[in-house]
Amino acid sequence: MIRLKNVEKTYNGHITALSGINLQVEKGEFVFLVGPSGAGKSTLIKLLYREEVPTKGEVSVLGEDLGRMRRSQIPFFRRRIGVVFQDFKLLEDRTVYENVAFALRVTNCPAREIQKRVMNALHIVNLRDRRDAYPQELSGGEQQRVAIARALVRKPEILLADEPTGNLDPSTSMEIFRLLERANLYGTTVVVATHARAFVDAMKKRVVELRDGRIVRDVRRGSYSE
Amino acid sequence: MFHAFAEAWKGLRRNGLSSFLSLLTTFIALSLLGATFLVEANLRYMFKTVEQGMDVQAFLKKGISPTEIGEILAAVKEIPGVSDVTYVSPEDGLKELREMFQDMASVLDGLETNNPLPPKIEVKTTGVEEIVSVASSLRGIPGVEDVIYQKEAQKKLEAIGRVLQIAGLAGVISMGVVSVLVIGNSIRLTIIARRHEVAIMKLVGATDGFITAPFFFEGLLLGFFGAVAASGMLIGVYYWLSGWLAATLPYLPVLPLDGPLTTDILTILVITGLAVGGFGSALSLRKYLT
Repeated sequence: MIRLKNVEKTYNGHITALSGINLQVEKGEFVFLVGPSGAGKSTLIKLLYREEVPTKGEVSVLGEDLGRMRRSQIPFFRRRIGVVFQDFKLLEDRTVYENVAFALRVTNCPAREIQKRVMNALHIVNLRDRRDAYPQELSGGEQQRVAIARALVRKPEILLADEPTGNLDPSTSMEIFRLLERANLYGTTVVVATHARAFVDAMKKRVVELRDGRIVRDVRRGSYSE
Repeated sequence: MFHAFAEAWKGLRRNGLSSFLSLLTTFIALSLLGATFLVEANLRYMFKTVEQGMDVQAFLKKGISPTEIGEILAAVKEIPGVSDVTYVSPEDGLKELREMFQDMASVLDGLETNNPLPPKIEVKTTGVEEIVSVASSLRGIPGVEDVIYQKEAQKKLEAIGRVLQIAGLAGVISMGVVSVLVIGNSIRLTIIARRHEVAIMKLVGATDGFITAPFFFEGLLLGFFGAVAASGMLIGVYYWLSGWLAATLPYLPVLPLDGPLTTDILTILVITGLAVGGFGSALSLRKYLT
């Protein structure tokens, strides 16, 4: 599902963000990426949805060699994965419903199908009643749930999350992790970069720890630190 | 397609202020372009009016026969650059003189029986630049004694005509370039303000075409409305101004505000507006897509 071989990523030719990364994630896995700020977690996530390309090595996601992917193919690749961010990245001038529907509109999905699937996704994140609200009228937790609904509405094979609870309080964070876990139960492969120690410890998932751009630990049913 | 158009309309409404400012910019830039065009068209028209007043006169041999005159007229019509030929008999020439010198008609008394005037033909050319060559061709026709025209005036007019043509073209082109740059820049600012939106669209897997289409239509709409508003304003002002000029400076030739002129303004402005609006936004957007 996800395979990184000897991946190195440098910026401007000398700032090394990642080096010697070898990582394999199988279908249906739930993986936490942990480590201090600047360890390379975000860069790794960006490599997985082809926002960045590796300087060296090979990144293969869903059977696609991302380093060699043609620019015109990127949108079609991204439709197969969902991405969630710390800052939600919602379209501020569109309603909750429209934000989620947008992910389907770009795929030329028929209108009737869109409505059914959007309402279903909003049901999963428990936001059906707020479908006509605008993002700025929502709490941080609600906004992140909209972002998750947008990611899930296309039934992605992979769900990536970069610090999804970075701006949220603990009880709200709890809801978000539950949603990610629920998506995982339905068969979606989930990779979450996070600092939320308590949740990582409680959820007992695979933990990959990064430090200075290298993988220093990769354990099944692990905790935030050794 | 329909989706892109609907999105374009929503996009304009959502970004009301910046859309309005782009529209205003388009309106001003296109108004300037249109005004330059109107000034240029009027200068050309004035020039043409003066130019058409100029003609070449060829004096023929005295006592020339009507057959010969017919042959000469036919030959003159064949000369390139000739638009019109009229034969003026000695009798007609005398009448012209009488009209010119009404006060001193007595001087001309008695000339009817012994008319000293040679028969002549008056030749109009298609343009002032043809006068010299037409005159020399006329000299080569048998039966033509002498050819006269206003040498100095012809030279000056020809020079003015050349300057006018170049300056007019340069003026319209440079205003065209200015409006393209100004409109393009205002579109660029609109897109910079919305680059966040573009980034999110890319993130959820929208193709370049899907992202660009609404911006392209927004540009088209802005260009179109800007052009129509500018044309309307210019036509209104021109109507008022030409009326005022006709009343105060009646001898000044002003291009009449008729169908063709209105169509010209509309065509130039709408085409410029659509092209710059549509392609300006599509091209500006490309930078944020890569």
